[in-house]
Amino acid sequence: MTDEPFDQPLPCGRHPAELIEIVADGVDDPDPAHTQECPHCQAMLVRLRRTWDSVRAAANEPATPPDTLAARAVHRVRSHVRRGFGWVEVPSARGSLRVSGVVLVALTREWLSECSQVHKAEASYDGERLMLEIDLRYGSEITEEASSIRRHVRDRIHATVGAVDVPVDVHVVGVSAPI
Amino acid sequence: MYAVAYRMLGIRADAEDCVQNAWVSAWQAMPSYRGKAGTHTWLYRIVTNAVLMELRQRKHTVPLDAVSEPTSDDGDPERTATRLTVHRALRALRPEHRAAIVLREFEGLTYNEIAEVLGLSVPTVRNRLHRARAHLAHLLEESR
Repeated sequence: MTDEPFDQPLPCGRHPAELIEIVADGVDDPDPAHTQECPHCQAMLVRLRRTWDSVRAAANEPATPPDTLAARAVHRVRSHVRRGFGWVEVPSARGSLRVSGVVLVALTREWLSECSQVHKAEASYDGERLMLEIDLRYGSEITEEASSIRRHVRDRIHATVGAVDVPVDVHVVGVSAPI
Repeated sequence: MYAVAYRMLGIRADAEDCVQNAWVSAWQAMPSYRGKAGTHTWLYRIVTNAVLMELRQRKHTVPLDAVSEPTSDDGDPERTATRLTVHRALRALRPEHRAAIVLREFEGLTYNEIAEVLGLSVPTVRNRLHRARAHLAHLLEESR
């Protein structure tokens, strides 16, 4: 007997969907007498049980978040919450100048797009520090590239916003390769 | 939230990014949250939407770690290989099928809860799950 497809009715007329629910969801067999006698249903059940054992083994694997994720999530939320309140103070002898954190983040995204080794980036500002989360392209020398990105952003801040000292934290969170 | 994102995306960095975006979305949506859905269902919806959005945007690049890593290694190569095979098969599913499988098989949500998370009717969830499970079973058999 050849293996029947999982998405077509079996030769006995029963649809595998019913058997899949028995195996995957543990529901009662609505026609146990037929299942007991039918070679097609029996064969399908054996294949499904073997398959679902694998799925259950994978499901039992813990997917534990990294320790730093909660802090980074809070930082990102805080940077959004504070959007209207976060400012960069630019010292000036003639009066005060404040640049909104929203503007700083928008500018930073543009500056990051100028960095050829950045595949994907997210920027946030919590009123004190600028945080960059970067996916680098494959082949980048990480330490060197992170320093270069920080330098680029700081130079751009100085050139665009003024002589302010905004700490720039670079988190390299991924590496990706273009097609 | 992280488990859903990681299992759907298979890439830790993307999962972490999605979770952070999901928390921002949750914060922004909090004023309109009326408690009609349970909190955990609501959070599942937010993270699932964030992941589906990430998958839609992920068209032009192939991640370096396209083969997902098991988060733990129990020293049993056969079990580790099984887990990798399942994760590979999972990522070959269409995103909406993948979401249904992850929510049901990995997170243990009921059909009603999945319907709430995905904004579908229960019969549609049942139908989608059937197609997703049939495809997953086919992929797993093929990989043996």
